[in-house]
Amino acid sequence: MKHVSMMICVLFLHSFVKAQHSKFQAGIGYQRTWMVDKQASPLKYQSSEKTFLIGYEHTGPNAKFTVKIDGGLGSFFPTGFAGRQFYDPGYNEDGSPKNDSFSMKGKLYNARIKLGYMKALPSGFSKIGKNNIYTDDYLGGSINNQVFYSDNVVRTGWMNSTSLNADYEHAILFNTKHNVSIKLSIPLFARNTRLPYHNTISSGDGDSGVKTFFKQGSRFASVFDFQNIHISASYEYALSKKMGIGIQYSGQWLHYNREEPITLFQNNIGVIASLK
Amino acid sequence: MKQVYYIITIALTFLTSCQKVLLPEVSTNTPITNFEEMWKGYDKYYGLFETHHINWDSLYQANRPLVNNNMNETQLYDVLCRLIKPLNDPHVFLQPTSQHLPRYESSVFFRENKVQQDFSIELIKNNYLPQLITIDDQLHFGVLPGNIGYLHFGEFGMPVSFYKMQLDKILDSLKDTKGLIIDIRNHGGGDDEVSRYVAGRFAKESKLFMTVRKRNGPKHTDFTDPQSWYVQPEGNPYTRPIVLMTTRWTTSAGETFTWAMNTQSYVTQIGDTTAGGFTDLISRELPNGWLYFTGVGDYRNAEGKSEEGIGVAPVKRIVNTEEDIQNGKDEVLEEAMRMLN
Repeated sequence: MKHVSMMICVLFLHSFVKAQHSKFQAGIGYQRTWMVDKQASPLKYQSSEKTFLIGYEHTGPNAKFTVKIDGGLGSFFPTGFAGRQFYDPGYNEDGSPKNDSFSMKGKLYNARIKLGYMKALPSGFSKIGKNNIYTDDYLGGSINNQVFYSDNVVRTGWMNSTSLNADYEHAILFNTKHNVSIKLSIPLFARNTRLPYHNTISSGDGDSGVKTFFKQGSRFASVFDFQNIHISASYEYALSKKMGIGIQYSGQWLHYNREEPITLFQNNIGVIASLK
Repeated sequence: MKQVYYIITIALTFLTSCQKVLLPEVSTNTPITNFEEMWKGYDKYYGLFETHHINWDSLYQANRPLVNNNMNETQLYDVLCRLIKPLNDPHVFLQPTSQHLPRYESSVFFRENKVQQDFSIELIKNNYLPQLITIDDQLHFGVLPGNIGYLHFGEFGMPVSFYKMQLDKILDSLKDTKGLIIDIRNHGGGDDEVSRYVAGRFAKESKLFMTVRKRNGPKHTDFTDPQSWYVQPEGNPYTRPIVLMTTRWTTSAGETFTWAMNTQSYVTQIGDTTAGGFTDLISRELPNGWLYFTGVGDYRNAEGKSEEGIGVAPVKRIVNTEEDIQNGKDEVLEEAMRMLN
């Protein structure tokens, strides 16, 4: 009876600890991207980017709601061709060739916004010595929009993807101070936009380039022709009841076949501060 | 702590190496793969094989035996130039990224004429229009003697909003002129949307000026449905007599602009036939990092006729010689002024 009472108290305490809380997050990081976009180029491209993240998470006893925006910017060039130069093809007035040149390194811009909702699955509790370990699992979905753009001479990596994803999270709270989380997100259905086959944008309707890009290049995609797996693992240390600091790794693998295959692999590591 | 450090280092090394497994193989960089890639690129994207009656397969048969993996960069360059030479197209060229190898133009005209000798904006400013106003290197305007407006476009590389803003001011200052000379003799191209918009600033009525279709599949006959382009009056159009001046250096968006302007009855084109390269072009890469450029469309004038490789002929042909320019004389400009006086 005593043990049952203690168990009820512990579970009540767990619920109390878990009750409802909101968390704002901000972070900066470093990201490496590798990309093969056969619609644009036979070469493998790479980038090194500085990234940012801002997010909001509201956790209730039965569900969790998330909003997250992240983005990155960095130099973008084919592997092995960092020093490549574009030599001026023009000629001086006396007919001699010009000899100025500029670096062909471009920039990769990418950004993502995500809105997610997950339901809590039955949680767990265990004790190691004096240390309490709470585990929570969440399963749900999210809507995600991610855009890639580069300003290279060849139009490598131009893509926008709006997807409906299935999400899973496993969270571990160790002694109320150490929080580890592992997340997985897989799109089920998407509306993807790439350049049309001819890789140009023009419209006789007077539409802007952006509008024409979406009008001419958008298609629906399912898990059978579009894969975009996101995983992340994070550790947060609670400095106080209100503030935390942590590190996060996230990885992405994307593959899409239209018009020509594009494959991307991305690793990001960053530091995050939280305010509850 | 040391263990955590080792774990992180191993994890990062592993994750970085994953890219070799998770990304597809890319071509190795050999002369043969470079040749194959360039031939395939034109095969997939070039829009004018049928219009120009080019047998691209036969050019593969003729040139592939000349390539082997022991050849050097210069020898590869020579073969790639041979491959594209028969296309004779202002939008087909090879751009190596080695300093000693120049751009190779498949167009005979641009290969044989390195510097334009029949036009000089400095001559116009010094000898005809000292009050010439320079917006930037590619946009000038002023009023010539006899109250004739002068407007020069060197390209259409800025967004439409830039031309809207500039033309609002320019055309307001030229609104009382009795006629206008539009000079696109060194127009190097740009966006067709800009061509359409700028022509609309001189259009009294909406007119079809071109149809566009672009490659959308691997067969040489795979094209998008034709799309019609109309010039439509924009802003407060200038509709007094206009003389449009062109040369063989007027190319790409400069030529679609010429088509659009020629739809209006008060526009007269003089000078020389334009370059004959209308379509949008794209750049692509080879395994050795070189770039090659190709047109992807089949553009037709309002009558449905292709003028690729031909150009838009003026109503009156008059050209400056190199000596004219060196002697400070612009015969074409003087003829345009006579026509408007």
